[in-house]
Amino acid sequence: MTRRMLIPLALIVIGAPSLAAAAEPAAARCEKNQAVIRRLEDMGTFLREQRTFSVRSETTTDEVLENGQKIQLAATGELEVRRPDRLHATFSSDRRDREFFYDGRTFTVYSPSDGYYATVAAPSSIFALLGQLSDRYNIELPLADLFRWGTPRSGVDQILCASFIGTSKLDGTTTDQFAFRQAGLDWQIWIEQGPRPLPRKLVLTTTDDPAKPEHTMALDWNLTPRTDPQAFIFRPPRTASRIEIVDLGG
Amino acid sequence: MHRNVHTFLALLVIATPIAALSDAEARPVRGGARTSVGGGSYTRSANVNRNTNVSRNVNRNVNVHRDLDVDVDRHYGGWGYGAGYGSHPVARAAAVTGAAVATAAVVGSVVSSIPPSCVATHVGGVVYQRCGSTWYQPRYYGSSVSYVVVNPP
Repeated sequence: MTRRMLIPLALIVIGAPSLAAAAEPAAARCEKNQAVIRRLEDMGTFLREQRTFSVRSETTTDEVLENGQKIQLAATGELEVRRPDRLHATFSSDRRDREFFYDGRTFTVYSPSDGYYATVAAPSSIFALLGQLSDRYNIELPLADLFRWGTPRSGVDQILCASFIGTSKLDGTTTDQFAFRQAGLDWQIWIEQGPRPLPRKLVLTTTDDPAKPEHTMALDWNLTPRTDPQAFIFRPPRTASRIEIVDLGG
Repeated sequence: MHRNVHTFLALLVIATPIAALSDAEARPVRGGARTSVGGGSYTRSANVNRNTNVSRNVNRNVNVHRDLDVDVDRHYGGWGYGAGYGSHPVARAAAVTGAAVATAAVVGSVVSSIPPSCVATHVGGVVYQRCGSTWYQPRYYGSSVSYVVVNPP
């Protein structure tokens, strides 16, 4: 009798872990390595210390069709920055091109292909500008993360898991690869080893869509750019037309 | 009877643009990859109202209307815009259809693209797109250009 009861109990015990694993092992197996978090914060601090820089980006972004198919689209961009209040960004893909100008007083979005531009009054820093663009104009500047890291808005508090993956050579540069998990997003970053802890590559995997679309970004940095001050000022071409931008009043 | 004829004609007119849809409109997109780690962390949370049905245009036809996000071309750019994918306050505020309808356009409705035959026309320092008898005013919604139907200036 005792023996017969033991068998079902054993089955239950064996069955339990596999059920749990099938449900969602993520939380249980997650490590949040504080040394990794510190590397991310060191990178943020270093980024904030750069007064002028330019960075070229090559990105790919998956979109998901209604049937669940993923389509990958590529784009290139260039960002020129002079802290605290100058920014010029140019981005183009097969489908669209945009330029963004911030001269410390105004912000302009310009579409070279159709000649439309919109100009609005801007706050006195890039960081404040990012908030205004997001809240009032629903614009997320490309590579906006670069300005969030090293600030209270870095999103480090959103990170659930943080781990070191290993070293990796990118274009001859030795980097450390780290992996993070947060709600709805798994992401990886490759940070340059040595005195310039710069982000060189990112992969973002959106996990709250079953198709798990990805965004990848390769970054090529210049920390001593010869930037023309005029580059931050928008001068509309003769053929350009000024149009409104919808203000959400955030 | 009279009414039925009108309905039939309306369907014909509305159905025509389907053949003229560009690649962009022909592929219904349900979502895409997040493009920033901290995106949407200012005031809004990300991924709210994804694919909300916003259009209630009385002239819509099921085949034409696609519930596209108002800034259709964000899907093709590959850079992060807006506070999370599909979270589009403008779309919540305005009726948006994917492609311009040749006639019967309702003043105030917004489309993400207009026919290539439209002509840019400046009136009083404002640029319009004139498409037959319908006038559109281009506007930025986020970093995308959409077109709102206006009365002839």
